[in-house]
Amino acid sequence: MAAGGQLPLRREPAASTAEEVQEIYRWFDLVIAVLLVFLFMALYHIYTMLTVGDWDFWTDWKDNRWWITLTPFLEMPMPAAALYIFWSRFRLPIAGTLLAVSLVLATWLNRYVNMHGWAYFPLNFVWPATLIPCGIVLDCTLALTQSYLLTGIVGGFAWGIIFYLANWPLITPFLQPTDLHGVMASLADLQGYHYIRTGTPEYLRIINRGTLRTFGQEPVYLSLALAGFASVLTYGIGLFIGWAFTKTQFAWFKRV
Amino acid sequence: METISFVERASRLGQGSSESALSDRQWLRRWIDPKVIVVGSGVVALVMIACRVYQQVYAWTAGIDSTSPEFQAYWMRLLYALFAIEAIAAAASWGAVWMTRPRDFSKLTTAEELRRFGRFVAIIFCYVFAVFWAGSFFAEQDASWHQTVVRDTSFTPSHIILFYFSFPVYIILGITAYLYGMTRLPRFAARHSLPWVIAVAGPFMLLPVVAYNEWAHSFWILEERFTAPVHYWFTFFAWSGFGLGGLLLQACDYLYELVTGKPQTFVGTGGPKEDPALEFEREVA
Repeated sequence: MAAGGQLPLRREPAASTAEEVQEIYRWFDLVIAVLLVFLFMALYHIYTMLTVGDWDFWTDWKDNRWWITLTPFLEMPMPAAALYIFWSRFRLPIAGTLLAVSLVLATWLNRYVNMHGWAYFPLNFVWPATLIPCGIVLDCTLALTQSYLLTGIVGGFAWGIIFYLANWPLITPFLQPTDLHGVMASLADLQGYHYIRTGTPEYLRIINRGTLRTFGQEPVYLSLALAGFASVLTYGIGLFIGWAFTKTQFAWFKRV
Repeated sequence: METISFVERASRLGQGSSESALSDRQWLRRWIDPKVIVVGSGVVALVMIACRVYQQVYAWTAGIDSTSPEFQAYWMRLLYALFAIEAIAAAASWGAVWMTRPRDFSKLTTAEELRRFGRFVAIIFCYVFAVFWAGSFFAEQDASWHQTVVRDTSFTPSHIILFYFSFPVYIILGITAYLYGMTRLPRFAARHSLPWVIAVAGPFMLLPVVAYNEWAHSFWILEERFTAPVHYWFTFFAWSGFGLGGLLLQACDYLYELVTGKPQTFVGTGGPKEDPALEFEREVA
């Protein structure tokens, strides 16, 4: 947006010096920055828990098919919407990282205080996944290409792929095989068998089926490819939502 | 000595007519009132932490069986008390903002308008902070409880705090912020801002969604999947928080105009030539 430049004054200015102007803007920036962290902790967290929450809550749900496919592409639209607002109006390529960090803060706070501190699940059963590397790559792609299209294709696809790589060190210990009454299962499965939840029937129906699912193998690569392509698609949807919200800047309507 | 009523005195205070306060330009350094942010967010944090401690103490010991006498004593009484507190808080905050509203915008100085705008932003900060407790902290806590304990009532220890306390708290703060802008700032007095309406009404709609959610859970008492379709309306209305993105853009225009005295222009951006709010906000003067 262009500045007022040589236009005549429309009102008496509140600031009398350039230093005052800078101080006013700086205080506004600081307050808004903190506000945005709390806002995205709320919005992105509730959005995440109600779209892929079950996969994020428990290690046994963190499988090699649904988790690594659903989480990246369903979590893409909200950062993409924020990305459009921040980049189109403020030239800030920070949305992906900001939302991912906000989400990690919110989920870790919850897992420790509530899942562990109230429902008494062990922390190594309820740790949250991270999207921070995905967000960094998305933002870097935007900063380097300065293009929504290339960011969608390259950054969006990378977002889908990197999710599993970023979380690989976290999930690996729980994919070790173990013997349970003569049946082979992963440690994550074993945790789930010991902590029966109301979600256990759905876990058995959705996750604990199929023959190639438990320890990885080629379904991982197929899932990653699907996650990458789907993330490109949902990036576009999120971008459109962000565009729609920026259009509300000029939307005022008369009082009835 | 002039005798004035309480309402009149409060109204004058609400107009911020203290010339000495405005003549000291130091206030510009912290024009978004930090006291409102600290006190408002501090009170919200204190009551939410108190609720969390109460849950820690009484949820497992008295909150499992809704037919038990201890459930009635520790949880249903708490629910009724919270309803009463919410009614009083809503009446007090909305009433105070409305009763102390200034009646005349014609003599409003830019400095005073900036000070009011700062207080408006500070109240929005408290609103967002309350939304965080409801949308993030207690929302996922609800998942942890209902993945562990099968419900036998809609008024479970997690629901009482989440749906019937933390939701109303942010609704009260959101409407307070909306009323403050509508009664103190000419721009928001003359027109309704669409993104601001979305940002207040959208999260408010989570409360009607609670009714739908609880109605549906009377069929499916288990929380077999937290990502179940019955919860999708919560997700839908979570997007309404992005209305604050549109409001932020409006706030940047407003701040620029207040600080520099010049109109914000949008030539070459696909927007209007000049900020449309500059015209209609004079209607109320």
